[in-house]
Amino acid sequence: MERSVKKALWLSCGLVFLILATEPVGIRSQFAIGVAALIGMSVIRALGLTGPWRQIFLALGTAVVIRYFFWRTVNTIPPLSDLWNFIPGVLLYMAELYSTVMLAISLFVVADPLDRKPPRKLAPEEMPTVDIYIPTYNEDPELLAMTVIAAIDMDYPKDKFTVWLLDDGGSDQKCNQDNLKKAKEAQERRVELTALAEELGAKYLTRAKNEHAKAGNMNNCFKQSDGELIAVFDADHVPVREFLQQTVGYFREDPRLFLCQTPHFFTNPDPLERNLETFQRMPSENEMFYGIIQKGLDKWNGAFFCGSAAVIRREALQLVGGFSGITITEDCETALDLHSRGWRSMYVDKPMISGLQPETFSSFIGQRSRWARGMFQIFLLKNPVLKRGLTLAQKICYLSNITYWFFSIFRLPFLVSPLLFIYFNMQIYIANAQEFISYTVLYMLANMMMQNYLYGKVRWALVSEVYEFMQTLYLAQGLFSVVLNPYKPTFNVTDKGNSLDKDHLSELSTPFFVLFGVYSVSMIVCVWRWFTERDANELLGVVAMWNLFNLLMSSAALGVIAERRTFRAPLDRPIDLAIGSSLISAKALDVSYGGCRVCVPADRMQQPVAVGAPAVVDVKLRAGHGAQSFPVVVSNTVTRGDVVEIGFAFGKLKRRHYQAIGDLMFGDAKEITAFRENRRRAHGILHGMGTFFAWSFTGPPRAFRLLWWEWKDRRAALKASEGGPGGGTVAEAPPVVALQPAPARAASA
Amino acid sequence: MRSHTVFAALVAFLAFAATARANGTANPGGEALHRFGPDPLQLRFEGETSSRSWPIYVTSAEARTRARIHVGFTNAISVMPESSTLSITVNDVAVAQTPIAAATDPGALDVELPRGLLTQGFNNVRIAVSQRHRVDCSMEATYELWTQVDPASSGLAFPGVADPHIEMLDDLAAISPDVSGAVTIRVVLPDDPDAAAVDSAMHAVEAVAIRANIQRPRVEVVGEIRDDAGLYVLAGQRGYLTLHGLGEFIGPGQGRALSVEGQEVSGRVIVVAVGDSPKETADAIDGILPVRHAEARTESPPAARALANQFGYSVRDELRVPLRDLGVHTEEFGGRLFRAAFDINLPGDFYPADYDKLTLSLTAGYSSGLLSNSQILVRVNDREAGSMPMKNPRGDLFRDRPVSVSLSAMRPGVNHVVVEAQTPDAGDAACEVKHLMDMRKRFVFFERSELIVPAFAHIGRLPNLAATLSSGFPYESETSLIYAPSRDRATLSAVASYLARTASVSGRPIGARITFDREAAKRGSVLFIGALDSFPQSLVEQFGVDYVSLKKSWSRVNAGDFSGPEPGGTAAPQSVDSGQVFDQWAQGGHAAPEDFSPRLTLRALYDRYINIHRGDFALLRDPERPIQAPERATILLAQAHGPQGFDTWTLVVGASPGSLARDMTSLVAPSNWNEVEGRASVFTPRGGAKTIDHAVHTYFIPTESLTPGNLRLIAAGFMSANLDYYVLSVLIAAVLLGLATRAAVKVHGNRS
Repeated sequence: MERSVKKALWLSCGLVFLILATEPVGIRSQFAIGVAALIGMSVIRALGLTGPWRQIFLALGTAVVIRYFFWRTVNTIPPLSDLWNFIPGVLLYMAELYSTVMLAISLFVVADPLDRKPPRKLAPEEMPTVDIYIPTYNEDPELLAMTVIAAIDMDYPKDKFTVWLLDDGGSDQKCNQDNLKKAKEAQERRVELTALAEELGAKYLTRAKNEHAKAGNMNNCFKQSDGELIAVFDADHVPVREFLQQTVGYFREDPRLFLCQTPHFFTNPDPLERNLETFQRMPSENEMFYGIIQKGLDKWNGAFFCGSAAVIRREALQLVGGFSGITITEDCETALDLHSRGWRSMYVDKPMISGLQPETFSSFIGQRSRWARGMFQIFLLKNPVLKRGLTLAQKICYLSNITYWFFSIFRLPFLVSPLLFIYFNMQIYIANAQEFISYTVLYMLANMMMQNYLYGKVRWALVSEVYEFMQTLYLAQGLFSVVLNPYKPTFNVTDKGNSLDKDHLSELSTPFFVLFGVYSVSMIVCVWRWFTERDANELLGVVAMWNLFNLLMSSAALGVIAERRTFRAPLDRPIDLAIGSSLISAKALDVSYGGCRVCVPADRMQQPVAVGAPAVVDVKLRAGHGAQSFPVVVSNTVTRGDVVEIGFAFGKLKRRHYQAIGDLMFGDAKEITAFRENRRRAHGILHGMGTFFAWSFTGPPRAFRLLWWEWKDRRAALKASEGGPGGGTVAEAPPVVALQPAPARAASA
Repeated sequence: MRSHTVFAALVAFLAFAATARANGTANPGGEALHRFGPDPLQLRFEGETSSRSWPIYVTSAEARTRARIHVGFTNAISVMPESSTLSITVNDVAVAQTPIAAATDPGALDVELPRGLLTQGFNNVRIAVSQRHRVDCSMEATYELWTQVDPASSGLAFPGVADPHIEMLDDLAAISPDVSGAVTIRVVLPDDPDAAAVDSAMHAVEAVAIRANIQRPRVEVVGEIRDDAGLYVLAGQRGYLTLHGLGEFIGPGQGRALSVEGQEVSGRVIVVAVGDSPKETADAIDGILPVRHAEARTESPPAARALANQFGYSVRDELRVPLRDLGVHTEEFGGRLFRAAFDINLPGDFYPADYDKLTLSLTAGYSSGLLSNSQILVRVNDREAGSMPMKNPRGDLFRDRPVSVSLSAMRPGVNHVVVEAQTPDAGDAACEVKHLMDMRKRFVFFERSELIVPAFAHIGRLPNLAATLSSGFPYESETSLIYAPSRDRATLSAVASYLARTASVSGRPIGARITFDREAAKRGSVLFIGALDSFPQSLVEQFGVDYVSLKKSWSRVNAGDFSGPEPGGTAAPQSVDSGQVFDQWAQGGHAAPEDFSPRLTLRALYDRYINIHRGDFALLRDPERPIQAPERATILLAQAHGPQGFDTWTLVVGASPGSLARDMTSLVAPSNWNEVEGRASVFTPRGGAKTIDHAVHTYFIPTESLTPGNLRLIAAGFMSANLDYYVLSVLIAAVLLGLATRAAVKVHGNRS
């Protein structure tokens, strides 16, 4: 009873609010309420008021947004008779309509983000059996080894779980294919991984045909395993020891629970973070989703499966015949099917895996493009709005996840519109300067304040815009390809673990140079027009500012596509190095899947070290688990002042060796959480804008310098191929070993 | 007419002004002259392009004559004769055109109209003037150009018809205005009449003013009907009138009777409306009113257009109308400052506030070579209300381009709207002789441009004298009263002139009843008219008027410090007084050229883009200031909230009954009547009518049914004018919504 009363109360309050907000009051009233609302919001924010003040803050912001939108719809679209301006005007309007609808949906989704209590501690006989799936396609065995070993080492009764290594790269189809070279590689892979699995204590599985990609791979194992629960880890997602203990208990508490999802955490920066150098201080892009949005979805029973770092109930999967494989985002699709049958899901905001993000901009785009296309497939083929069995709240939640990806299309009008005025004098947004100040500017401020209030800790101001700007051109193409063929858009696997050994331009950089050029020229045209056209044109000023924003955005974009050499700060982990006949106390600087680098004070080196010499590294494991060593082989040495840096490749590794390496590479749950929290300081809008400006200023110089070098290289190469002497200068090759940072950076001590 | 005849006419006018005024329709020349009323100021054509139309009624006898049109005029010395013309159009047919060269000697145009052009009934006569400056090419100089048509001698002349023989009520409209533009109505009342008799008489006068299409009525209360030319109105109960010796003109018979007699004495018309009971009397008087059915109207389109626009185009609700219907004609223009002007008449319950915009959807074009500061400016009531730049150096031709004017720039009643196009070109700065003669067309304005009025809020918002003077609101119902403190002829004449004009403008008689009973006037909505001395100080001070200073300045007037003609004297010369016109100019009655360079001070920027001031917040407003009438004022009008509920009190006072009656006849001229607005206005003989105080604290009177749509607009308007109420209500709604959201969210979905 009380629920419907509160719902009715909310509806009537909302109706009154809507009527008041859409009253056709004059522009000065608009200015007054806009300023008053912004002041109210600032006061709530500054005083840090909580509880119902959150919703009041959002209501104030919504008032400004509604007023803006009402005015925008009624007053600013060119008349139908003026078709030349009407069509682009309507397109721009639809883009704004999209963002407003997204804002409204997101207000619903994050209305009350949920924090889950830890699960009940289970008695040993209660503990369910768990199958751990680690699907792989083309990842390196070293990388897989880390993941498998971490899975095997998880804190759980050994007889109650099995680790499965599911290899699609060594399937029969792959091994018998026509391309002899590739077939041989596949066969070698199968052999190597089978041995690795056996060595580590996991089960290796492959199949006859590569159908339905990852979903099909997992379904193959599904048929051959029988654990009550299934935990899925991507090949690069290394779990912490307590993963199962922290998740499995929930399944005993709620028999209708089908999913327990945990956040993805990445130990390496994505291309934007690396090229703009934000990894240490700014939250990662996925943290907005995992830090706030999934918690919001969880409230409405809408938390969905993200493909990895999750535990799923077999019984539920059985009902839908396994993992769904119609779309290329099979994870979200599976969750959709199960939600529609009334199963419940949950999200636990404890980062318990360490994964890898795509390193290059092109692989990043490839990954995002897949997600966008997959979500759009779901929209077309299994539209949540039409799906029976979902609650209204769940429909809104799924819709929000899917329509998020439409940003790629709806961002395009914003990129193009100012140019229409600058070059063709088309007026597609009818407003004078006073209206612009009282409506548009106040709306933008309110919007930014709301975004900052909701997500400020996990997303700095203007960062969303930069990410969207980078993706929009390519993802729009992807969505278009889905429209052309919803069932078979091309599916390319994201490659991870690619190393970057020197600064260079991404292969996808051309459009961004073009955009930068276009906006720069437009800016010049604006200034020229301002000074040559007699009357100071208010409209020109506004459009010039918009174009300036686009220009700054494209400048920051240039900073992103100027790929930096992977540079990671040293680990500084004390180790003991046994080399030759001496045992030296040294420091591990860096460690990755291929090897590690160690720093030795020069005076402690009694003999020179030869390349290829064997050595042993002894590591004190964290959390008092004793010490462990592993064999290495010298690959290079560099003397820097009074220290010698030795690069090692790993020797033949056994299971126990992986433990030590993993300990060096990955932190435990506490360290991961600490690192994450350290980046999540609340910063204001001005701070975000300041960083954004910094990116805009540093981006173009770097990009153009790289462009210049590449052009020089190409010319030299052309000359060389024509038989001329002297090639171009090649950038100095840094040490060969690819290095990855460990998240222990942020942990003090 | 040749110049010496015009001169003779002018002399005759000056010398025989009194008699000429008294004999409204008779013309010394022996032919009936139907003048252009109602205001000599309407006969003044200013600027580079100006025009005006009048509806002129022609009887069947007059229509059969070989009618002529006389136009006598003088003009400013700066008008260049070679490129200035005055043209006359009758019923949309061009009739005559003459160059304007009457700076030193008066000029005249006298043309015989083609047979059959004039029809019985109303006809449209239009004078259009196109003038250029002799030596100066600037826009400012165009303000020096004027042509004044002589009100005495100009009009339609019907040779062979000495005066229109009026047999039917419709023909009453054939009575020509006198030199000042007024039509005198003599209403017959016995000495010391009772309230009911006065009431009937007033209603009859109002009905006659409406039926005879009298825009500027000058009513005199007389005791008897004499054998001279003039319009007499006799109305009341048969018994009462006969008792007081007026039975001679009431025909035999019983029951209600309505008659028009215009044969016995040349130039005299008597309208008689009597009955045996009050109801019959009222019915008879109602019979004077015109029939309103569409089928019964037989005017030609041009005449209908002139009639529709004589009080300003009537706008009752949302509408969309081409400017052609408002009297604007397509025009190609070759000068620097183009003007197309029209009036719109909004109802008394029009609520002016910033909740919507009135749009002029313009179809026009401009040539290449204009300066970049060319623009179209829309002025409403002499204030700039909207603009559109004309910046394309290659010129442009556009259709349906909108210019918006906020509804807060309008007011109930008559609104003057001017569409002005400023079209300076490069040659204007140097202004060589060749350039002065250049007839290149710079601007074209099409009559298919539209006026689009949105649905507006209907609610009475008072005090606002404009609402009362334009539609009688809130005195249309019979429960409201008109209180006259004394029954002397002068006071009653003033009352009658006021009521007749109000009725004429609003198109229907005023329902309020006259009373002389002070006690009765303490309840309900009351209109007080009379001399200051006859009202108690407490009453006058209830309007916020500074009684003491007003009494002091008016006692000087009564003592003769301020000499003026007696009641019934020649007020006419003053109406043409260039002094009055000069004063109007000096007081900014016409907008000055704009200063084009935007001022870049912070204050200017704030005013331009934000423009919020203390007065916009209801809770911060100062209380009303006391009303101080300026020195030379002779009539004061004021309005205030009555003692109870929705009562409204209106006050019209003069220094003495005589001065009130005399100056009322000037006040009812459109140029004065339409300027009365706000909480207090005054009339000054030299300066005309002027609003001296706009109400800060207003109250509402519901008029139509309060439909949700209307309520929404009213609320929006109210909250646009009182910013704090809007801000507070939205903030409170946001807080409530926030709390409700939180409560609802906490009980739905999963919980922590």
